[in-house]
Amino acid sequence: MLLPGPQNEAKAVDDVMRFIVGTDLILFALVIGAMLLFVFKYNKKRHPKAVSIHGNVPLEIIWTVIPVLLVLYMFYIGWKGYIQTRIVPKNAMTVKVTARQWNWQFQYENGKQADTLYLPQGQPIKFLMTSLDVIHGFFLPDFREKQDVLPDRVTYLVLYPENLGNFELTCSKYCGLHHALMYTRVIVEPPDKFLAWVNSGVKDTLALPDSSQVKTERAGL
Amino acid sequence: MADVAIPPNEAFANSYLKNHGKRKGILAWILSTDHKRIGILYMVSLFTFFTVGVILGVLMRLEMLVPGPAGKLFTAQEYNALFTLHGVIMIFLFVIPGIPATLGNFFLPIQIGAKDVAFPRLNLLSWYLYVTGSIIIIVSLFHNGLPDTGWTFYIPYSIRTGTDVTMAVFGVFILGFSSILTGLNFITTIHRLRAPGMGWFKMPLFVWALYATAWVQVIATPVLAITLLLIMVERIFSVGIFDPAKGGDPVLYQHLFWIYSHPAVYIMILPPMGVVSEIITTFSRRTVFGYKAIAISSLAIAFIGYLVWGHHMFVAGMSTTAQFVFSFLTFLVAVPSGIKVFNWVATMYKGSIDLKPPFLFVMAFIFLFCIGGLTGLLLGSVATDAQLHATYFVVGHFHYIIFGGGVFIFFGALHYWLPKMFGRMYSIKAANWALAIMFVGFNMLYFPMLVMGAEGMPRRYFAYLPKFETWQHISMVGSWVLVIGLIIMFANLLHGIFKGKVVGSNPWGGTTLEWTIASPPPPPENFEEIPVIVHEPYYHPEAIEVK
Repeated sequence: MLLPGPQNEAKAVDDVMRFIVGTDLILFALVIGAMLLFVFKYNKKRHPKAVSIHGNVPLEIIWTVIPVLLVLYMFYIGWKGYIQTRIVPKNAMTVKVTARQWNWQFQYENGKQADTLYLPQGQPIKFLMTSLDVIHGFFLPDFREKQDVLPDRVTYLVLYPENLGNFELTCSKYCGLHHALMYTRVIVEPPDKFLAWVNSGVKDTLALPDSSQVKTERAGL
Repeated sequence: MADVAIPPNEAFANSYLKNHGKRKGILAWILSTDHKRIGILYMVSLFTFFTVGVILGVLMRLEMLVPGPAGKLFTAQEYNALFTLHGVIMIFLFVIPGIPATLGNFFLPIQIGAKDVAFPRLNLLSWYLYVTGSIIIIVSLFHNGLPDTGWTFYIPYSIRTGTDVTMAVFGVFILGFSSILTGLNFITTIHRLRAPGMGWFKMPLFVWALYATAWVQVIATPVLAITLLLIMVERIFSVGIFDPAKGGDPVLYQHLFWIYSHPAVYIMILPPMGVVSEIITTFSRRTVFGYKAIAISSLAIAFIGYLVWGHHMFVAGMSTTAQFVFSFLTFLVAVPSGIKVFNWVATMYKGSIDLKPPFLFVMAFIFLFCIGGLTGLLLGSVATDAQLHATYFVVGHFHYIIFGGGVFIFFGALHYWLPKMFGRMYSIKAANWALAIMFVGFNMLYFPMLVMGAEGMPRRYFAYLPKFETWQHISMVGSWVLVIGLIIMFANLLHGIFKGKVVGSNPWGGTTLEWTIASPPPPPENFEEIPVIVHEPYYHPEAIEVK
C-alpha cells in the first residue's frame, strides 16, 4: 500500500504508517480469530449447554489498559512524525503558491513565475500559500504532505526534496467543476540546472542558500 | 424453538397492524400516535431515501469506467451533483435518523415495559418535521440547477455556486428539530417509564445505546441552529462571519459544521452497537459479558465524541496546538469502541451459538467495523492524516464504519426484529445468501478505496490517473455485486413480511421484554399488564450461571 521511492518527509510518515498498520493487522487477526474460534468451538451442536459468564475484572482492565498504551504511543509517533514537517529550516527557500479555480501558480524569490513546480534537489523549501477564490488543497502524494490553501490567509508547508524526479501535485479540497483537473507536476532538478532555469527571463538573480547547512539543520529537528 | 404462548391467529386479529381507531386507510397511519406505527412510517420513508442513495452511489462508481476526462458517462458537473446528493441523502435523510427513529421508536417502549414513549404526539410531530426537512433540502438543492457543493457545504465555495445553502441548511435545521425531539422523547421515556424493578443496570443494552445517542442528539444538534443563524446574519446583514470576501473566516464554518457533524457520527453508530449486544446474547444463549463496561462505554463514546471534531480539519489551517489536542482526544475515543468489541467477542465464549441470519450479520459487522475502526487510527495520527486526508482512504474508512458497521447492523436488526413486528418469518436460506453476496460486494467496493487512497487518489474526482484503473474497476464491479445482494435481501424481507411463515412470540429465544408479547404486538399499549422486572435483561435460565 505504500508509495514507491519515499522522499525525506515520507520516511517519517511511512514509519508511522507501518507501525499503525502492523498493530492493526495483529489486533484484527486476534479479534477475528477469537470470534471464528468461538463460533466454531461453541456452536450449539458441539456445545449445547451455554455458560453465563458475567464478566472478569482483571480481563477488563487488561483490555482497557493495553489499548490505551497502544493508542498513546501511536499518538506520540504520529505527532513526532508530523511536527518535523512544520519546523522551517533557517536556510529554506521561499516559493509563493497561488491557487485558483483551477490551476496552480508558483512564484520564486527573484520574481520568476511558473505553473509547473521546479525545485532544486537537496534544498529545503518553504511554501507560502494563498488562494484567490475558494479553498484548495495543496497535496503532494509522493511526499505524504498536504495543506489547505485558503483565500485571504497564508498557510505554509515545508518540503525537502531529497531525490531527483517528477512527481504529482494535485488539489485535495473540492473546489468545483474542474477540481479533478487541477493538476500539475513537481520536477526536482540538480541545483545548477534549476538555477539556470529560475534565472532565465527575469532581472533578479536567485542564489541558493548555503546547502552545507542543510544536513545539520534537518538533523537538529 | 418457537414459543407460542399467544396463539398466532389471535395475535394477528389483535395487532397494531389492524385498524383500531376511527380513521381509515392511510390516515390511520399518518395520524397515528402509536410508537409502533410511527416507527414503521419512518422505516418506509428512510428506506425510500436509502434506495435513491444507493442508485446514486452505483452511478458514481459507473463514472469510473474510464479514467477520463474524455469519454465519460457523466460530465464533471453531473458527477459533482451525484456525490453531493448521495452524501446529503445518505447522511441526513437515512443514517442520522436511522435505527433510533425506526426500530428505536418501535422497540424502546416495549423493551422497558412501557405503553408508549413519554410524548406520543411529539413523536408524530418529529416524523412530520423529518418529512418537511427532507423536502426542503431536496428542493433547495435543485432550485438553482444541479447541486454541487458536497454534503459539507464548505464556504466559500458553497456561496459562489448556485446551490441555495441558506435554504439547504434550513432544511437540515428542521431535520435537526426532528432529531432533538426524538432525543428528548427517548430520554424522558427512559427516565420516567421503565417498568417496576427495571433499575438502570437492568435495562437492555439497546436502551443504553439509545439513551447515549439521545443525549448526543439533544446537545449537539442545536449547533446547527447556531450555524444557520450566523449564515442568515451574514447573508441578510452582510456581516462577515464565514465569507472571506466580507472579512469572515471559512475555517470557523468548518468548526461549527463538524461540532455537529462529528457527534452525528456517534448518532449513527451507537444505536447499531446496542443492537449488536442484543443479538449476540440471544444467539449465544447466555448473558452478555461485561454488561456495565458495554453500557458505560456507550456514554464514554458519546462524551469524548463531542471533543474530537477537529480531526476532520488537521490540514485546514489550524494551529499545531489544536492539532495536538484533537489528535490526542481522537486516539482516546478509539478505546471505548475497542472495549465493546472485546466484550462482544467474549460474549460468544462458552455460549451455545445458533448461526441464524441476525448473528451472521453481527459477525459481518465485527469484521467490517474492525477494519473501519483500525483504519481510523491512521486518520487520527496527524502524520498519516496529512497524507490520507481528503483521499479515497477516508471514503473507504467511513463507509466501513457507517455502511459496514451501522447499516449492516440496521439490516441485521431487521432480520432480528421483523418477525416480531409482523409475526412472519422470511426465508433463512435467502437471507444467508443475500448477506454472503453483500459481504463480498462490500469488500470489493470499498477495500480498493483504501488502497487507492493510500496511493494518493483524491476524493470527489470525476476523472483519475490511469494507474488507478484496475482498482477503480474492481470497486465498480463490487458495487454491482453489493446491489444484487441488497435486492435479494429486500425481496426476501418483503416476501417475509407479507407472505412468510407465521411465527410465535419468541422465534429466537430472546430474553428481553419484546419477546414476551405477541407477534405482531397488540395495540396500542403493548402490555396487558405492565411487567415487573426481577432478572437482569439477558438471563437465560437454561445456561449455567457463573458469578
